[in-house]
Amino acid sequence: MYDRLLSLFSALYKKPLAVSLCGLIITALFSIAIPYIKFDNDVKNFLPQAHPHRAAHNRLDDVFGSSEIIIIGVESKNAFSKETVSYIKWITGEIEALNKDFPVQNISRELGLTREEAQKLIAAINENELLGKQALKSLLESPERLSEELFWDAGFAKKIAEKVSRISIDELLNMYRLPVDEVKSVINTDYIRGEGDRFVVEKLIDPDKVDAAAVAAMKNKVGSWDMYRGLLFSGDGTLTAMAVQLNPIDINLRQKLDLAIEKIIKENPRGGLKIYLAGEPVLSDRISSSMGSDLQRLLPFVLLVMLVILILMFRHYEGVLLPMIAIIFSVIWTMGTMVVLGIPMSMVSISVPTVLSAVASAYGIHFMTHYFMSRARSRLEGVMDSMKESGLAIIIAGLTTVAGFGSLVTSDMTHIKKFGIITAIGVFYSLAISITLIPAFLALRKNEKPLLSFMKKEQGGSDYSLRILMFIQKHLGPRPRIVFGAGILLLCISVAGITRLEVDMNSMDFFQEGSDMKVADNRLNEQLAGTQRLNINLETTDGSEVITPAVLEKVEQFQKDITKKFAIAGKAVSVNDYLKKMNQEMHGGDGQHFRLPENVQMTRDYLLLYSGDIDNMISKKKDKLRIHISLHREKMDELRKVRDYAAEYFDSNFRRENKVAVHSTGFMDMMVEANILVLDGQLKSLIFSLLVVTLLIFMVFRNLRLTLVGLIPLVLGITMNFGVMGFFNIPLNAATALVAAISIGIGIDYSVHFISQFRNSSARFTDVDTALRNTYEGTGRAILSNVASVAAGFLVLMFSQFPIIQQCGGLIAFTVCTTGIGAIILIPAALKMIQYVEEKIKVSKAG
Amino acid sequence: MRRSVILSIGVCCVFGVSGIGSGQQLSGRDIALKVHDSNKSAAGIVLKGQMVLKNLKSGSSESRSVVALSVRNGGLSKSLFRFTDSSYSGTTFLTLERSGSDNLQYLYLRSVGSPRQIEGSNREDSFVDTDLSNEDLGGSRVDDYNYKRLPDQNIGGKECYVLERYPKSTSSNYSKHIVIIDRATMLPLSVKSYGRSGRVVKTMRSGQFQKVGGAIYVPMYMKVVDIEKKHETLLRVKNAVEKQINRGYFNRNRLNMRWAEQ
Repeated sequence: MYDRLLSLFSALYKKPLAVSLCGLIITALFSIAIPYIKFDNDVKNFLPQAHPHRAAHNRLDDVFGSSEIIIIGVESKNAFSKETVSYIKWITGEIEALNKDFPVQNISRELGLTREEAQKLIAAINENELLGKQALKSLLESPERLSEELFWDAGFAKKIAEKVSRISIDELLNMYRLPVDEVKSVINTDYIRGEGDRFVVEKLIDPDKVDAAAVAAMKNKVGSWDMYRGLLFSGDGTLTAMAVQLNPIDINLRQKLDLAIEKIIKENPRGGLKIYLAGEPVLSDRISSSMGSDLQRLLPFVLLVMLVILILMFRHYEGVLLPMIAIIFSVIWTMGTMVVLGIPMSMVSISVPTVLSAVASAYGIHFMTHYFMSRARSRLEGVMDSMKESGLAIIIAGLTTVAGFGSLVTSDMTHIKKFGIITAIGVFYSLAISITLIPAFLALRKNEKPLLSFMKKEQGGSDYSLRILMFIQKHLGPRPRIVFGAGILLLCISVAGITRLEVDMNSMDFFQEGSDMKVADNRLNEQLAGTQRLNINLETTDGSEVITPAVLEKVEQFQKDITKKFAIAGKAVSVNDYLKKMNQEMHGGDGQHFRLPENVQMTRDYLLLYSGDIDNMISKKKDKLRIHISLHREKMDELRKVRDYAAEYFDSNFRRENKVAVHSTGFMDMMVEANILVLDGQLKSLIFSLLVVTLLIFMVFRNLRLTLVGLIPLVLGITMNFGVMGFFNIPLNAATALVAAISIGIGIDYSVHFISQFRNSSARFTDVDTALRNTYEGTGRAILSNVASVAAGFLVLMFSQFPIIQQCGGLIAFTVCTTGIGAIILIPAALKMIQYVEEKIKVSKAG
Repeated sequence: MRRSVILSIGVCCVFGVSGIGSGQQLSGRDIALKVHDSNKSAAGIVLKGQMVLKNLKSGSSESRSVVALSVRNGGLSKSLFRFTDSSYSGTTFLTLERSGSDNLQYLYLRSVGSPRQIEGSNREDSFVDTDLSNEDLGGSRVDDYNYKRLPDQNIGGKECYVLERYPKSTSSNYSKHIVIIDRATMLPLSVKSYGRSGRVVKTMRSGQFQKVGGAIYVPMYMKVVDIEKKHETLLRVKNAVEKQINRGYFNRNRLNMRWAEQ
């Protein structure tokens, strides 16, 4: 089988120019795509499109308005001041101006139109959007109709029709959509007041009349209704919050909007006012925007590390240049493929270039080592010798790594699944480049293959790595049971650590202590009811009204109970708060009537009477209501308890009797679900990858015992990884969940290489110790070098600005070391134990 | 004197008498005043119809029967609007135009038992759960806006005035409205309301103008669409007559009484 493959490679290497040109063309094409890569860390996109919680979130946000909210906190000595209100009025105006201009900018940029042309197109979409997408598209793509129906000049109509036909209607509508739905603040918040037979719904303050008296009146109004406390104003009256409610728009456009808002705030400081920016969209978009700079910093760094390692290993420009080309090409091809497949760069896939650099270097190093070790003088023969010696091991190692990474596709967490797909593809590219392009580039050269100095050391056996290996063999080789016992002890300690492992993925984990995002989030969580939002939605199953006394009473009790039971639940608000206030004001402001209306008709009439905006709490048809819960930032486990309590509170009896369905939605809800997917995905991918890797090793070795021996370092390495996470309080999250799969993918190579070499050595030497020494001399050194280079590559991630990426890099480096060293120490011990057992059996049989 | 301008809703266009003069020299404000003074009856006008509220996203709709009464007295209008079926049966809305001060608006709800004076700082808020605003039902005044007259247009064979009006209040939800008025009847054919973003957020179209009594025209249908919320309110008038109406109906303390015209 492999002979046939070799003849195919031989034919390929005889046409080095064609192969090289093909490789260069593919690289050039993928390079063109890279600038179009998108960044996406939206919590919503952690879940698959069809996930029930995501589907419920989208459906119910369509009814109640978007849950995507940017929180702007304005802090001063006294938030009830003219200065604060004036600032809020000013910043509202700035955001509205930005909102108005944003689609014009986007459409003119993306479609290559002037601002005036873009405005005209926007007006046309605006006036015809109710036609529906397809009818709108058909209108905008027809120059004749544009001329006839919109009275446009024929030339302009033709130009617009051409431009619009190049993009999908969804893309166009995405650019057209206003990014901000509403800016809610003290200047447009409703206040309800009753005086005699007058019923007044007014704003807390008229922004056109901001004076000392108006501010004092506003303070009285705020003090008279507890609903504002913690949501609009802090309890001590020093901080007021604005909520910028966003429309669902393309994530990259949203990032631009967030940055623009941040820029306006930063460039316009006001004396005496501290401004804080928080909210999940800001956090995830800041992660995305910072990821670009992180990548720009880390990628050259990892390439530099690889360069140093290659120089130390080969000390010859060919040994350095060609594996480096393999690394760079692999990264380019993979990132280009991400664009082609529409896979965005996320908090998970940010490590793809580093992973590929480390992995691709391994294949290049193995290939080049055997190439230089070949005694052939011709380059083509050297290449073929290398393929004969190491080709199969490289291919098997590559395929097992593909399987290891590919196992992540079993995760339902979107970013992890996509990471699995893209790294599997990337590793395959690395493999393909290492065994096609590197040989082709070598074969292009007509001069003789160089003979490197380290070749002489191969025979001499006096370098440091070999000394370490010999030390291991000398001291640990004769004591397999002690080695094994130590391994089991480490395993047990690690299991103890695993029991302390927590699953906790939170956007704030990406930010360092003291960063502006963390400072703002902490401050707003201290002063307000919480920056995280959980929505509990109740809807009738038969479309009838949900405002029955039984349902409203239950909601009322729930609001009280949840804030009493959980300190992190800062506030729970629903339509009940408005109904109670209306009831009170309809009874002359009598506090005794601050309670729910007596019957459905009264509730219905109050809702009819209320002219303000409560669309985010009750649907127009009154068949759905939403409870908004503000939560302080806490560990995900605590937040999950709140969510689960809410789900259980409205139990099946209540649901059946009142014909209601209950759904939790909001960013917090999706984050909880994403955490569940991380844990489920971790277990699934772990089992799947171990199974696939076991199968692949078995197919190669066709020996169950060797297969199981090959798994020992992996099992110990992975267990130690989770144990370390438990002991050092490193939670399982989207990034650290990758460690196991990456480590299996990389670590299995060490077992494959070691056992493969041991089998070859065993064929030559009947004594196990001699065969092992021979294995150490050959592959042992390569494994140590590889462990060093891969671990160094991943340690670069420790220089990321994101703590969870740092943890991920450190853990992978640690696990690669444990699996690599485990392969060198534990596999020989296991082999000797097997030999010992076999001899025992022989003796007993003979006896 | 602050006078109400009723440009954006057909229901209110029946309040008053017509006085159409030469249109060439009129300013935007003059036209607005003319519209305000047109189609009003001293005797009274009774409209009966159906209001259909439709969610354009889900397609679900709800229908209610409505009766509207109006009368002009001493140059000031009074109007009543009542739902006569559905769970809102009996809900009645009274608007009393006043000279020199804001119009008075009362809402009677059966469950509450006594009328409440509706006083909102924002007349642009929705009238109950429809797409009409309190302003649409007579809450706004000519002097709340600045006007600009645009070139006249011929729309569907009708000679029309075109006005642009700008709210004076900086906190208005709207940046401007474009109003197209049929010169023959002085009824608005179309109103486009632009949000602060500069986009059309609400539209009103009316049509099938029918002559009622002497020189009074009534639109037999009117559709208000909230483009942002994708929701529409269609008011279809089934019967419109000019007749003497009991003035006692227009009393805040009698909003619970049954009308002979129901």
